Amino acid sequence: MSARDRKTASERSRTLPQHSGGGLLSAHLEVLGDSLRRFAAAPLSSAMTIFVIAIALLLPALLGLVADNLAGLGGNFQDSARITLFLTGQTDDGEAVALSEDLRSAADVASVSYTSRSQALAEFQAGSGLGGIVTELGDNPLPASLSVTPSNREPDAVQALVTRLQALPQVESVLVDLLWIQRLDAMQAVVNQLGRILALVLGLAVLFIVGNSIRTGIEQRQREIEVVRLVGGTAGYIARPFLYSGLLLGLFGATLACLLLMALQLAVSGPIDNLLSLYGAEFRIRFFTAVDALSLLAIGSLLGWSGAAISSLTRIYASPP
Amino acid sequence: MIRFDQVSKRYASGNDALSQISFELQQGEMAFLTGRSGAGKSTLLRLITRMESPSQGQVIVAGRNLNRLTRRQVAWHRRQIGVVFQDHQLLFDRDVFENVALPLKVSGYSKSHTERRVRAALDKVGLLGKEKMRPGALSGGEQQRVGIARAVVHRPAILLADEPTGNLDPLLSRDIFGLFEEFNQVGVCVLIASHDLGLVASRRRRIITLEQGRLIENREQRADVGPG
Repeated sequence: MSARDRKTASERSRTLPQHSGGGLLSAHLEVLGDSLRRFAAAPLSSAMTIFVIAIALLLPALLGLVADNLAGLGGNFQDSARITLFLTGQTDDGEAVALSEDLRSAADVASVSYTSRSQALAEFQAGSGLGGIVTELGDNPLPASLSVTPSNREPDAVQALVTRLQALPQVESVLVDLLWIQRLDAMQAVVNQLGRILALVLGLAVLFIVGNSIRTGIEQRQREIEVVRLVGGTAGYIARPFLYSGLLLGLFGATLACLLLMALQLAVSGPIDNLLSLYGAEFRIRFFTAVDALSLLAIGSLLGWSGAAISSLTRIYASPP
Repeated sequence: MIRFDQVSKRYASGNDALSQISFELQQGEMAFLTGRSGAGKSTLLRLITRMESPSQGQVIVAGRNLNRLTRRQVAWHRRQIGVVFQDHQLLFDRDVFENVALPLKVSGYSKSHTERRVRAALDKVGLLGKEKMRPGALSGGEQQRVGIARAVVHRPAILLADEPTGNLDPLLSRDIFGLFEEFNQVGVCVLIASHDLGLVASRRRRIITLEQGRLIENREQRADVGPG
């Protein structure tokens, strides 16, 4: 009995797998090559799947880019979010300078600059080309003003500062384009939220598309799977070609999405530059970068692999070993 | 090596394929499994490979109760078995080499080791020159020999064959049976399901006979019975 057991053990050791690093790597490369050949063998259906994945990845990426640019635009305008205080006629230069010193020491104020009545007149004459008309008026109609830059540019903080400044006795009126900043802020929030929802929905769509394509592949290769099971292929071995197929579908879809984004960018960059120059903005549009492209490729590959893993492993584990 | 202990198999359809089967094959033994088609021969072989599991009883192979194997252990269990089918079960989108190499690839053998073993197996069945051909371009007898090469390439401890000569002429059948005997001589435990009673009787081996899922005969043939 014990002699037979020993023999059995030696029989078993003969059939143990011998995993060598080179063997494993070349085995993976072979499966990769096989997946590529299978795509080439069914070019139309592969191309359609890849195209649908590309569109599903393109839309959230595009929206993300738009949201980023809106944020940049908002930041750009918030830099110039100055509050202008027009002082009352009774406030003389001395009082105005004292007030500006007071404000400068406040925590929520970054900087203050004072423009006296005569400076305002000189600037107006130089800048408007209407200097002659003002001279004919005789009296200087322009008020002195303080230009205040808030240290905190959050709309709420700016609003609080404005309310406080309005209450000052020396201040006639306050000018601030807060509403515009708030609107931009809200718009950006909408686009961001839309982008997040779209990314979630379309990410699920990619999982579904890849999973469906893999399901078809598994059905077509049922006979092969049976043979592999019979010769002792593990669930991982059986799933491996499908995981590679899913990974490649995601990667190719993401690559196509990147190319489409770059083409789109090329097509609209002229009109956008034109638009921005009309607004005289210094704002530079944030284009699709190499980092964005790499992230999109990584996300696409991961989604493809996950879709394939869910689809293949659930099927493999649902059937007998 | 292979032990059936009161094994019954009822399929989900309610069909009783096997009832209360008990027998044992020793290490290095060769035996035939006979009976009409539908008697349960294929089911019995599928229980040994654990492609099916018994409804009752235990199948013990190489000291392991197959009922208690995990999914991974089932895969490892199958690596010590080679199976030959009547319809060969070859993959027609791959060449002969790839078909024969499959059991080694599944086990993760290195490329050079795989090539050596595959050549040796193809040499054994006389198909060394045809490794680059597709199975579809081969004759039935050649396809069967590719199937045999695949079944033995990883030097299994157990070789199972399900009607391996079902589609072959008598001369080819005798060759194939001769091959199985050669494997048995180097210590492989061989179990061949066949309804070719003439050929089976000529081989002086143990015969296990099934009828409607029941074991009706399990006898050693005496060595002095001459070849037919």
